[in-house]
Amino acid sequence: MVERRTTAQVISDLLRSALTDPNSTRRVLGTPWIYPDIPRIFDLSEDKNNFPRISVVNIGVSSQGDIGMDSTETEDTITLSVDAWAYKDSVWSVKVGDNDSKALSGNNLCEALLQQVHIYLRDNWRTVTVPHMLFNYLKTGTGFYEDEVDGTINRCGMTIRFEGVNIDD
Amino acid sequence: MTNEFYMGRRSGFCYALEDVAFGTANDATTWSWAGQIEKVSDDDKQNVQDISCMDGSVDTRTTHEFYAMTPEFGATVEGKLQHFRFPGLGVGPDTMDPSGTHTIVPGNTLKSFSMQVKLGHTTPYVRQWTGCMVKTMELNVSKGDWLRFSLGISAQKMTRISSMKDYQSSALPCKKYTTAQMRPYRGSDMTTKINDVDISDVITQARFTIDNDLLVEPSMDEDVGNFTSEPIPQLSKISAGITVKMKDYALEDLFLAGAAVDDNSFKWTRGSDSLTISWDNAIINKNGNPVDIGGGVVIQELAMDIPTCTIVEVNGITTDYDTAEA
Repeated sequence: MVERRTTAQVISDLLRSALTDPNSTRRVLGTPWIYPDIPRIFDLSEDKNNFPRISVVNIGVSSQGDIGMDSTETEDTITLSVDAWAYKDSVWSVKVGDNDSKALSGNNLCEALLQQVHIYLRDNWRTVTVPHMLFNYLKTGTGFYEDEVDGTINRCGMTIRFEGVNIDD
Repeated sequence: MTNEFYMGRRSGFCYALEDVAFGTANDATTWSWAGQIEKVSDDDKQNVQDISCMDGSVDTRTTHEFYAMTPEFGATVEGKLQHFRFPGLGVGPDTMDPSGTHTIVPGNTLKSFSMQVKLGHTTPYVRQWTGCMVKTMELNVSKGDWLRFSLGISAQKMTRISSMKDYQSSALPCKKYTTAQMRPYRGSDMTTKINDVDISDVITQARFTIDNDLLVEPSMDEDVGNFTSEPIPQLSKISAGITVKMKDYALEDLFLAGAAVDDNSFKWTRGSDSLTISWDNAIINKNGNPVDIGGGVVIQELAMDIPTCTIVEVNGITTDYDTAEA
């Protein structure tokens, strides 16, 4: 029996293998920093080396209809929320696209990490195929959140969308 | 409450190669899956046929006796293209090699076939057309969408039966493939070359059409007991069209030159599978350039006439294409 992985897990795994952890301390240990769920921020905020981190969460799947006659498969759309979380005043070096690396912190660091995610997915979504068959990646929105945990954690968010067949079924 | 006929998962479509005799459906073992069918539009007509003759037995003429009804059957079938076998009926003979490479070149040896469509209802209801031939075969694709085919089909007869043929057994020539097993080709998998220049980054739509220009001739049919249509292939006309976001004058210059353009192709890939249509000697006969301020970018629409083409499909379903399909 093959384990059915969710789209959030598939995307998290892709990003883990593609993006470099900006936290050099954590990078040496090989600890993951991208997860397919919402982080327990209060617990994690006790150690600044738990940041920065990225979360990928499914916020909705809708079906457009059957893919053809005599078929139980459906054409679907999934919307995911990708959030970047940073520990206040922790500075890490991030390289976005063809630009030189820059030392960033707070919301600027979060924005840069989301930009890395967007550029990677925009250029590589065609490689995400079986079993999820995701197509037509789109960034549908970006935004800031208020700082969390008494201003200790900064957070930026991005919503993305894929079309596909039988998403997460 | 009445039971209405309806579409959906209980609908179905299949086809069979080739008719035992023209207009007589083949047996159950050759009914095949045609791909992800989205729409079947009937186009069945009864034409009034004027019979030009004199009746010498009576001294008054009863008009209706000098007319006959000529039924003309057919349908348009549209779907997502999983493999080229069914649309290939509108092109010509399929030459296969053991590696799973199918080479299809337009010819005047179009196959006649049968097809069935099932409608959902509490009482099974299946329309069966026999003596089918493809009048027009069109592929079309837009950026970010599926590659779709549309076949305009002329048939000799349509009958209504109560059960649909089984086309899901693994022993059949072209069994049912789910999208998970064989994803239809997509616009995002497409590479386009015109004049050996890759324009994949600017193309937004593509169309490829073969018009077999069938001549539908009335002929006597003993089963029907009347005249019935019999399609006869004439010269095929091939054309293609593309819509691109204009980035330079190269395509316009090809149009202005009015000369034959070689090394053109559409290619769709799916893992190790591919479908390639290639052609030379194209004449670009239309260069539409709507200057629409609302559009944001300048769009260029080109159409071309093509003398002949080669269609090559490489796929992993060699064993499911048996000789009856070739």
